[in-house]
Amino acid sequence: MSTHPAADCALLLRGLHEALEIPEARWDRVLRLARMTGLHGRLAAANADNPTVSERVRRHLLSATRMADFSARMLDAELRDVAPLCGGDFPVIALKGGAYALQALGFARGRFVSDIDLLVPARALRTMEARLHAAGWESAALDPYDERYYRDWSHETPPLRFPGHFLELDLHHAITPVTGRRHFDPAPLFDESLPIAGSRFRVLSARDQVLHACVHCFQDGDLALRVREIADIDGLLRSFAGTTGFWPGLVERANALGLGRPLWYGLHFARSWMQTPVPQEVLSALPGPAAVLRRPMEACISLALLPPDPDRPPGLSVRFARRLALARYHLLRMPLHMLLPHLARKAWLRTRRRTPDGANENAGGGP
Amino acid sequence: MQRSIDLGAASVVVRSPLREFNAQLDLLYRDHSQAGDSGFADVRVALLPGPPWRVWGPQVRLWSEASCPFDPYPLDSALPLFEWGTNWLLAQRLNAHVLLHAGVVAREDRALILPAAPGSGKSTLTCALHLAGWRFLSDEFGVLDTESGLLHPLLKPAALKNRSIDIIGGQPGAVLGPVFAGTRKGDVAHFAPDRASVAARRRPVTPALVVFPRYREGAALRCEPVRRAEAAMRLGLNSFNYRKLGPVGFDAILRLARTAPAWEIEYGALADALPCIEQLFGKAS
Amino acid sequence: MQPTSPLGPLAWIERYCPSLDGQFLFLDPLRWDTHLLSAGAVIVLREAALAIEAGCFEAFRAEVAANGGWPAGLERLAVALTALAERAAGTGTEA
Repeated sequence: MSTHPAADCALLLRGLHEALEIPEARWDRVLRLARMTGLHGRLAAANADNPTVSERVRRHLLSATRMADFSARMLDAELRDVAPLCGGDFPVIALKGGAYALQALGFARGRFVSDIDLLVPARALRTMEARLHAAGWESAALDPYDERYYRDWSHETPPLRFPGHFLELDLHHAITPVTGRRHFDPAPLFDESLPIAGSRFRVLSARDQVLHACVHCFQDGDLALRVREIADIDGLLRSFAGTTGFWPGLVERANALGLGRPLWYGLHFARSWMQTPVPQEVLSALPGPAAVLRRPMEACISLALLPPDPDRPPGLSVRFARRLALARYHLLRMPLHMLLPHLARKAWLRTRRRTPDGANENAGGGP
Repeated sequence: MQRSIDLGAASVVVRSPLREFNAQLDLLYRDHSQAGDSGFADVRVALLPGPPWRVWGPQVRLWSEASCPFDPYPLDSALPLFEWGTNWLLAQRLNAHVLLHAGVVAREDRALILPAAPGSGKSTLTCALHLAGWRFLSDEFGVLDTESGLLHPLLKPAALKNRSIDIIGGQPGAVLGPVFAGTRKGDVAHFAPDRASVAARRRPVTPALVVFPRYREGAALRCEPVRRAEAAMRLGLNSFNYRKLGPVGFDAILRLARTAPAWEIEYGALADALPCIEQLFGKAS
Repeated sequence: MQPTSPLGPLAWIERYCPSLDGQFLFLDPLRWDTHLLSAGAVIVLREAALAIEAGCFEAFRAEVAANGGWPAGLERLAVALTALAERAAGTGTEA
């Protein structure tokens, strides 16, 4: 009766591109995995006209679509509110979901957004922040330590939110943490950025968008359940790969910016999990992990990234893999002498968090 | 132990080794619970005892999709955790419909909708109406079908708090689960709707009347019509997902406001509220 | 869910500004909140929509300012309608 979670996951990823013809009980599992990975909106978009789904499944897909539509509406509204603050005196680049929406990329349909990421030159960061404050956005209240973490060490400011709005706004001045191993001067990103017709925002070039998605997936944040990030990488590649010279240009850029390894991972897993058409010579031209490390790394990342069986609490091996991955993320982000005190503080803060069950707080929302 | 519960507008599969909790489910869902899995469920949860190293104050956690969305509860309070937790999870997945925050009862497949903020007494009023002969559809969710304009039953026990427990519990025919004292929301007990309501859980109803109730201790009965545009606004405000549904929600609420007349009542005693409501419903039919 | 061909400002008002017993409901096309409007406010909003479709919204704004200003909160709704004009024309940033 129950299928292997990896098989269900493969089915979910297939379902992002095509209508699935599967029994209702299988849909039950695929829908749950979709919700766990935040991919239920995209699954619904691809299966909107699927005549083989039962009424109950249709309801779930429709529910996801509705929530994704709301997410897209809030994104559009927020960008429109911020646009007047872009004076043309420095570039403001929309990253990730905002960029995908501005470019009207196909895979943006059904995608959930929880915040807006904007990239500005480091010299303009204070100015942009001040403009946002003057217009009514508020920074999350932080204590001096966190404030310092953000400003001196991270590549972001504390998140901003306009009171009453659904989305947070994150301002960045780079796409890699300042204290991290892979940090590079973001000037080339700005040089290659592109305008969007009818908008005050710019976007990264196609190859830089792919690189950013790879960096974000494997360097930034909790590695667990990053299947969605791989789905974004797949979406970007399918949107852009048809352009002449795209692949060599991507490899060249990755090597120039020192992002060859994250790109290797992004392409490898996109191809492996989503059959993204990535030419083998592209992967060969990138500095992948040493062959002997490949198997254990694959197993570790697969377990950390793939959602576990939805019917059971995550098993020990998954938790261990996640912990390993998380450790790697922290190491890449901050040198050890900064990292240990930082983690100690984080652990202390964790003991006092956990919101109570506000029963109707975010009812009906996507992730 | 695993069971499937068909609520009408949705289904839940719940798994738990806790014996007392299962006995309580046997009581409160006696007419619509079945052992085993149903193949497809809208919500799947497991109520599992908390970490084994907790020496004092053993806990229970609600697991859904490999994580615990809520804080753990004391081990003997699995039932309120299950009830509130599944409400929250259902609200996440049923956005194909407009979800009014309302009690819904019906006579002859014509519905009375009681939208209200927490603390307004709608659960108590819903249960009292049910005991007075109305079909019970829900004390919490008005599941409004955006295509048909009908309301779907969602047969879960009503959560009664504090004084309401005695008021309703003391009425003939009332079936209540155990009282959980001192939860986050005060004392809580769960009221089981009758067999006929459970049997009718697949039969949707037509909206006929909207009443915005407000309980205020010692208040004299006050009953006033609500203008249709204001009724629409208030229905939207008393909903879990109205705004998120944008144009779809707008159309559905507009249709509802045009179909069913709306009143607001303020009352200090059920004995005043019930006859007033019966009268309004008679006029609306 | 959204209409297949996007509605312009006037069409939006036709569709999402119904009247009930002399009061009006209006759905903000940008933020999806619902507003209760008086008949007078709707008249102003309709004029704004006409101005938007004629391409002279800025002139209309100046006119309103010179004549006592907008009823409370209405300007924001009128500005929201300008986004619809962009969409209907096929320009603009809407995904």
